[in-house]
Amino acid sequence: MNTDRQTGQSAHSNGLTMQTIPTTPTARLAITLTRRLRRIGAGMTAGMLAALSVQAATLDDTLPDDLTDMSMEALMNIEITSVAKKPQKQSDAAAAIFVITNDDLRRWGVTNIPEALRRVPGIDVAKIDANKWAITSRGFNSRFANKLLVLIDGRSVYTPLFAGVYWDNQDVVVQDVERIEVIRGPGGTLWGANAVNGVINIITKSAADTQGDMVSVTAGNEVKGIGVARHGGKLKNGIDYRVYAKYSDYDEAYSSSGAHDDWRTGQLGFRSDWVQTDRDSITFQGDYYRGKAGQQVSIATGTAGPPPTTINQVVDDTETEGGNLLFRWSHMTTSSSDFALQIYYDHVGLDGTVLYEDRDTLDIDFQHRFQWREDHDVVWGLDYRFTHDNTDNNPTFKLDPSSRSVNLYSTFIQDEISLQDNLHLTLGTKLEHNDFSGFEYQPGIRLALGLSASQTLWGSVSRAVRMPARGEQDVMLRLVPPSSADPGIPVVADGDDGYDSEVLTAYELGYRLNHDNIWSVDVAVFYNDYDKLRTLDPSVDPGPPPSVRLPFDNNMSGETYGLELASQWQVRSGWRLNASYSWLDMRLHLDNNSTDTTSRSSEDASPSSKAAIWSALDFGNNLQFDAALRYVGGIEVNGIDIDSYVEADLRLGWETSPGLELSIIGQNLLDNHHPEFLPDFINTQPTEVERSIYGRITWSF
Amino acid sequence: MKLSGHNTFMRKLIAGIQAVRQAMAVLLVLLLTVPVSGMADEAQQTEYRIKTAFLYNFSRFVVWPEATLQDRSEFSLCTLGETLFGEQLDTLTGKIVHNKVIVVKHFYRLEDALDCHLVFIGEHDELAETLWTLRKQPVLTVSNATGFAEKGGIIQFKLIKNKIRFLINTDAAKTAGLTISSKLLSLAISVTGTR
Repeated sequence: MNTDRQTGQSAHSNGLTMQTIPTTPTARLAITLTRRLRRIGAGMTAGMLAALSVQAATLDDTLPDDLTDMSMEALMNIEITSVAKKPQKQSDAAAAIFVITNDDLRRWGVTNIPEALRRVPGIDVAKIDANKWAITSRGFNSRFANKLLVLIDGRSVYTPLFAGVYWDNQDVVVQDVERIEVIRGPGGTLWGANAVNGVINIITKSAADTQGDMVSVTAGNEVKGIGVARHGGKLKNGIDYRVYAKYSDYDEAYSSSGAHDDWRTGQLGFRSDWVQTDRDSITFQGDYYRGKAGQQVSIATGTAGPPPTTINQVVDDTETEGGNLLFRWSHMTTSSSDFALQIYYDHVGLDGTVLYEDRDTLDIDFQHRFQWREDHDVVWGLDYRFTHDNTDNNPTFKLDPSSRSVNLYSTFIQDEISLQDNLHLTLGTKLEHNDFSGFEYQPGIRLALGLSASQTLWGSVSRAVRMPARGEQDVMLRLVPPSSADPGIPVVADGDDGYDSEVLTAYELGYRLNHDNIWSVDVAVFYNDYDKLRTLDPSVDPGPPPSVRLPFDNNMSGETYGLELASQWQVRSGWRLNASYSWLDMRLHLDNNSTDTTSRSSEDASPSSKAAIWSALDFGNNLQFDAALRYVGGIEVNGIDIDSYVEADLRLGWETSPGLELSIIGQNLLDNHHPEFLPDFINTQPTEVERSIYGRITWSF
Repeated sequence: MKLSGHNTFMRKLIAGIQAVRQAMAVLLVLLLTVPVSGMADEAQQTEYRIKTAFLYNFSRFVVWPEATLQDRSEFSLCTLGETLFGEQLDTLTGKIVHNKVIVVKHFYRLEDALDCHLVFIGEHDELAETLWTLRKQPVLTVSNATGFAEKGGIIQFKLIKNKIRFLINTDAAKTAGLTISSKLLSLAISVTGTR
């Protein structure tokens, strides 16, 4: 019946393989990637890593001859997709991917997004204080880590101010997250600037899947309280909707001198999905949040010359406020062609002692996919982003100009070509124009070879750029000088109009084995070649008044090597073991003319190895026991050593009656407290992560 | 939070939107000229294979009045009007539900379909009239038609994110004298009427 690659493919040539539908726990084994890595947002990404619970049954060939043997639950999970929209089989996926399912989030006892990422290979997650994180993919970790793109339902959440993420502002109702897709390696070809070392795609459930009411309360020593209420319903005209409110209150972390970093955040939101015809789906969603995050920050005051600079310690709350509205329309023109239009508006407001940002962003994204001849699956798109900010200058942190509008235009095209049944070539490029560095191109080539029904080998070469952040061109940030420096002279990190994009050429190779959904291994190795990495070359400005200037420049190159491994073993029904491991080696080289003394230190800011093992065990139908051990190697941040650590997480969950779940969760159980990271650029007081124990009641009705 | 700067924002936003509008016009032209090859049938075929399996399951999980089963030697599973099942539905012929052999029949006139146990209503001009006629008959009505369950149909298929789901109108089932199992009800995306 099929005209193309599917028919002869060894993976499916015998009709027996797909009688069983993999259950959610094993779903990750059969990770499938669509022919295009990227589709806009949740609605479209449904096809992306593809209906994880049912990927095996998505292809018509792979369906049993007699569907009447299947359960209705299984039937309901089969995706009706065209050849081109078919999620890619495992053998086609040519990228390093890890997917966190809704079930994982529950079983790992996750309360916020950063916690969810801790077990993912290749991703560093380190806490600086209770409300600040340093999170990166494949090295270069910092609070202002800038090579990782994060999307929530297709909305980019990195701030162009420093090209990083305010993690404390990115909240979701964990129970309503469908999955989190973590793609390591460059995604610039499709996603564009900042998808240099990885992309994290957080996808919430469709409103149709969150019908009914849900109330959840979490409380403990570190998580003082999280309350969630959600109502899902259906309007007369067939529109599914949900509305929710969430409030979180976290205790301060540990510091011998007082942490002052407790924080609270409240968020309201809604999502509506309208699927009136077989061809159209419309999503409209929005969120509004406010938060207060405590910190203790050191600020250098005093001008040059006597009296010398003094360092003041200020305790204050950073107030945050923001919101967004997103509209997405997906339309299938024919079964082998569809397009999607997405428009969102996003407001970020942040008011702290040092950082101040008030930003409005409008993004319009259009994508069109179609089948060309029989072996080409083409997707192309256009995106326009407009962002405007206001900042409030203070003696420590200034932007010049204090208000700036930035336009970003981009277009991409990607073609996936089936060379043979088991050999797929993906070619694509993105062309982007930004106001900081002008035109940027980000091409990529990927090849996937199905070695057998259960094995895949893939490789890729791609170029990605990290475009300059607004701060890197416009900031004047007064730093707290090291104690060895002359206290009378201010030290200022200086934006530079000539600051250019950082450039990566990445080489990746991967192997994936999935043995009957019982045992799986996913290995990826990479070699990343960076150029024009950021440096701060000090120079003395004789003044008057004299000062030390640290202009942002691009005087460093470097290579990173790494290996990432994820494995899963379904020991028996109801018991699953997982392991992940990552190894990373970074070598950074300053250009000969560079006098930078600090930037090379990112070499040591990521652990050279990190590992996790976890077990998910079911007792009977309604009792679950989860345990995890995590190891993170020692690091050195700005010359200060942070020891390696091992931590354990435990969870006991009990579904007392349908819809009512009680659980008790312990995180970071092995130590009273341990440090994980240190601040960068802005001298906030680092604090240590404490043992956390909390209970959770979730009632769905 | 300061709200200053929004005026500038609005002004630039409007300029931006105008630029985008022009781009969209160009885009639309592009869209209309992009060739698309027709491979529509395959997805449709899968869809109707699955719907066939659903109809079989509906037959199993709905209870008809004893009389309508005893009186007849076979279980009549019918289509009314044009449908896209093609020959798919015929694969159910010979299977057993409620101890009766399934016989698949295709009708175009309502009068012919009155003795069916299950009727899948396809493209049909007089849907309201059909449902009115069938409302007190022990016939399980199923359709893809938008608003079918609201109009008095019993089970309505609905595609949600490329997956086949269904809605149930229990009041309509009750009027028809049919009992729908709780399993079926629990799988429906929405149930209208009293359970």
